[in-house]
Amino acid sequence: MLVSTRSSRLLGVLSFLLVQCGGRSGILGDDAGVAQVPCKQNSDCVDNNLCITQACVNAYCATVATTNCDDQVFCTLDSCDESSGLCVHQWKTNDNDHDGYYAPLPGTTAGAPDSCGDDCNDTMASVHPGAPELCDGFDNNCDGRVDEGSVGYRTASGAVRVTDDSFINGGPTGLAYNGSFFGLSFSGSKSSETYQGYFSGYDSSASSVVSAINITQTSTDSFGGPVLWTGSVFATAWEVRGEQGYDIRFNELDARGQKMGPDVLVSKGAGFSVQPTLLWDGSQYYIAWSDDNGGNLFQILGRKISAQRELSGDILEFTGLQSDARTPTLLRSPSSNLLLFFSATTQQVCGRMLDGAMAPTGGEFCLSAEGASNYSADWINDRFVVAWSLEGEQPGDAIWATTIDAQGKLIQASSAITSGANFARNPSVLALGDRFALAWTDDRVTYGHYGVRLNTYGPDLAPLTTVQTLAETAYDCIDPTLASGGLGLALVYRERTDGKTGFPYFIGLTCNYGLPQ
Amino acid sequence: MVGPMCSGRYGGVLFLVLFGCGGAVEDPAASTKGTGGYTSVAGAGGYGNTIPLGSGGTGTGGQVYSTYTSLGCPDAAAATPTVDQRCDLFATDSGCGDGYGCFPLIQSSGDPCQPTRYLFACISVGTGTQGQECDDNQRCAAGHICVVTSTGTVCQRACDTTIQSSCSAGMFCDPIDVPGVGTCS
Repeated sequence: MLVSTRSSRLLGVLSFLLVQCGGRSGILGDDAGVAQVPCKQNSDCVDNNLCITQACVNAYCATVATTNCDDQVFCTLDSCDESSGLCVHQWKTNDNDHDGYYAPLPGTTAGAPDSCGDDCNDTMASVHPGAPELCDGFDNNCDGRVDEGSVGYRTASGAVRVTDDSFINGGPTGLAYNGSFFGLSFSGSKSSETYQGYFSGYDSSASSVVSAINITQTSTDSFGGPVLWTGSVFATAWEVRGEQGYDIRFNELDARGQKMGPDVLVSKGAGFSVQPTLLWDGSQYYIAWSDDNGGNLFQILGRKISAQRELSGDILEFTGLQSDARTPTLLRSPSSNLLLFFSATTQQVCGRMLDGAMAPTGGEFCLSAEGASNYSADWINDRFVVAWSLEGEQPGDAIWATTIDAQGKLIQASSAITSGANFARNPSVLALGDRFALAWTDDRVTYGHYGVRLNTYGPDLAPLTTVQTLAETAYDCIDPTLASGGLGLALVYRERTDGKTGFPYFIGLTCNYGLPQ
Repeated sequence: MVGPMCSGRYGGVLFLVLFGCGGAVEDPAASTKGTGGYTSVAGAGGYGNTIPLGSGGTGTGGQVYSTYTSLGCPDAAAATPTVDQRCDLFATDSGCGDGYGCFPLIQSSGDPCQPTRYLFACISVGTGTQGQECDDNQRCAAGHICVVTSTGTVCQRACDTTIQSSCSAGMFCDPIDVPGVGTCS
């Protein structure tokens, strides 16, 4: 049997091949039901279908062979072209972004056996095996790591104030990149009005793409919350003051910041339901928040929300009353389900593993000594990194961090990863493939005066770069939050203009490679 | 502290422990689905009543929540909170007698389209100072406010967000959800 000249198909090359016929096989049916053509010799038996061979048998034309185009390659659909007699081997998947690499079959992982494609993102030509890793928030080389080797640096465009002059104060609450621009959520108030939650958009050069839109629209206080990009929409959740406390609401936003449907009331009952955290796993949302159940100690509650913005299942409890738990963060590792981080009343950063149904799979555990606050966490490569500051009557002088594995087991004991300041607060951790970026605020320049700093660390918590100052003005710059995308990274923070409450600011960061590490 | 936790996701705004509306409890089960928003069992009004412990919350009443449709409140953007200032939170002499202090209180209407009302009133003081646990303002010493923070519900020193911070070094005057009021955190 003649097979294709390629005995094995390398992923990510040509779409199909025409192969010379020759693998004729078969018999030769007796052509039952077909009018038989009399013949004297083989040349009398001519057929327009060049994929079959006819001969003169017992004075009648009969099919004596058909072209066998089976190339024994799982990932091709094989057929014979009747007009040419050539075999056609059509690859089962497509190369939609025309980068020469194919998408995997639905339900398979890029590069896996029988996936028939190794392009981990067939919508972006800059993403395929062997592509140079860019600092753009995507796994360009499909090695499972995002932005490895990158270092973020402030662009020449500098910081822009997100709020216009109609606002009297505000602060950022969330940041996410949608492949085109950064969506930013913030809380703010205008003169003689309550706090409201807003959404706006900026590109990497800090140009406004979406003007500030009030997305909470309440007469009572409401605040911005976390924001994420699912691949097709932004999603966010926020607090609204109710009659006796706060409720949590959820919605999706399109790229213009317009709501995709009615707000979804996520929490129940009177009391404080605050500090929502959101996670998207590719098919559904997970949301958790702090809830005092109408005046009791705080617990972390949560539930699932479908991709159709419908509540899925009832509200679940993740922490006991004794923890008086606050400020949850939901994260997910590729190999595990969910890890819920929270602050406990003991002033420790704690966590609990949850399964895909959000059911706890283990007990609560704590990562830090007492006095920890202001934590931030992310998954890098093979571990979670968790950073926090120390808060007593005055803030501590450093940011501390530790690492744990996907099951919550300690990898490295906690240690101070910044130095040189009297006060250090507000860490924001962002995974960069083989390293992580940390933005925080400290007073290393002037006693008691805060500026926003950035540094990059390896998974072993060792610094890879020197500390950069991203924001240092005559006023305190605090509450930084990092996100990746665009030219590299972006950062939002609050500048306490005039020493008062402050306003949200946005900075685009670019990536430089090969810097001293 | 709500604000700076988790990289400042909450915009640096702290929540005042709420003084409610006479025990009124939102009743989502009374929602009229499809007509826009929820209705609430209106409270009797009045400031100064702490939230009864255990009112509402999960598992109380088994309310079934469905998709919330925003009322829209077309004039919400123009809704101006009302402030009733019966004492001065920041003055050396707050105007309250011995054993009393000036505290901010909040009353939210049962009507989601009505503006919030704020009251600065004299109530009896407690002994709680910076960082000490509380469950309402009466646990806190004069000049301190009971706020919901990331690691506890605690008394924090009140500060005026409209002037330069008077907080100690390293601390911010972070706004709370009462206009013009912050706490040192």
